[in-house]
Amino acid sequence: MRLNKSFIFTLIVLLILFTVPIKTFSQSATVPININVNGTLTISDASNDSSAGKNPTINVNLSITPDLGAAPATGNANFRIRTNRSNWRLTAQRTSEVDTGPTNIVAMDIALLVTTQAGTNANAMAGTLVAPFTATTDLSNISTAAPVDVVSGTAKTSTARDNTNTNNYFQINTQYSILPDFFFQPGTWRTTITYNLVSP
Amino acid sequence: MTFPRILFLFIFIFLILVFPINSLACLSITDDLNTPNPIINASFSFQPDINPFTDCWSGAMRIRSDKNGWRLVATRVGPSSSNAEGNSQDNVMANDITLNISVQAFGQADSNGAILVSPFSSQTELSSIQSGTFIISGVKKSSNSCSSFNPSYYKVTKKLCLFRDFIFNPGAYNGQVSYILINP
Repeated sequence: MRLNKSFIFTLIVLLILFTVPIKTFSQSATVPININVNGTLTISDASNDSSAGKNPTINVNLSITPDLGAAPATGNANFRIRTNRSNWRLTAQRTSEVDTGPTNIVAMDIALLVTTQAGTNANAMAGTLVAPFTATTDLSNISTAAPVDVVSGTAKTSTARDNTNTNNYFQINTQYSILPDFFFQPGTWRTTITYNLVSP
Repeated sequence: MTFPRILFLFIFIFLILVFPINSLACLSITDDLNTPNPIINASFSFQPDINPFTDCWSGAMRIRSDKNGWRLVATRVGPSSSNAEGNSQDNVMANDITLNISVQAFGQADSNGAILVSPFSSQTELSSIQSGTFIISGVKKSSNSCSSFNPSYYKVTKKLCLFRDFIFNPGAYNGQVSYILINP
């Protein structure tokens, strides 16, 4: 009889030890970290290099008055490229011109000079100009029918971490100019060039 | 008469061996839903961009202890990638991820009972966690109970932030931090 009581007591003690929740252990936590970095292509206005300046519309207005010895009228549109893709292209396509004169201006009359530069944390060789944009050319080389390659990118634009995006830009400078020729008649001639950053 | 005494002696020795006195200190980690031994996924999916600069994640766990002395230690693996293309120095690394840990006391837990150990007392990088790295020194119990639903606990919040830097090679990166609560 006494033995049975002892056994029961022992079983109760063991039961308590094994079942009381506060004596169980749950003493680890695991934090798996998964990071997906996606490829990106951005264009921003060089004079407004922020999120507000992304995908900019940059107006170039050239106003000429034919005159003897007058200098060409010049305008610029500069923009910055950032990408972590190692294979990219900058293409350009132009809309058909609208001529309210007629002014007698044609796309060939507007000279185009494309140059590149890079910030101190960017790879100046990330992209190279594609002929005929390697030298001064004219707007007729930007087709209205299909995009043409202006820059061929073979590397990401950054060379170092730059968490303020201050110096990791690859910049495209485009300069447009027209001579004040007496052949041109009063009026307005207009076209729009769209530059696109694409990754094959 | 003799048999019960032998039996009790045997049980006593058995209990000493199986339940050393320190193990009776209860230690518990749960998530905010009071799930024991939680797995708390930290996931980032982003594109580098001009602004905003950072992508952040935060998660919390609850610590309960009925003893005054306890420690939270952590061990890190990665992050590393098997498919990122490009210079490996341009991969996302542990020191690219900032780490902010904060501790709050709830219920009967003493607000000074859990002390973050340097460098975790201020913002640091994930790389500060290596193997068995000492994160929190617990000097006070949270209460007398470690029950998962006990309202007295220390809440440890971790915030990870990653700059959306254009240097990072596209790809998937995986890592893991394991937190363990131990007696000193």
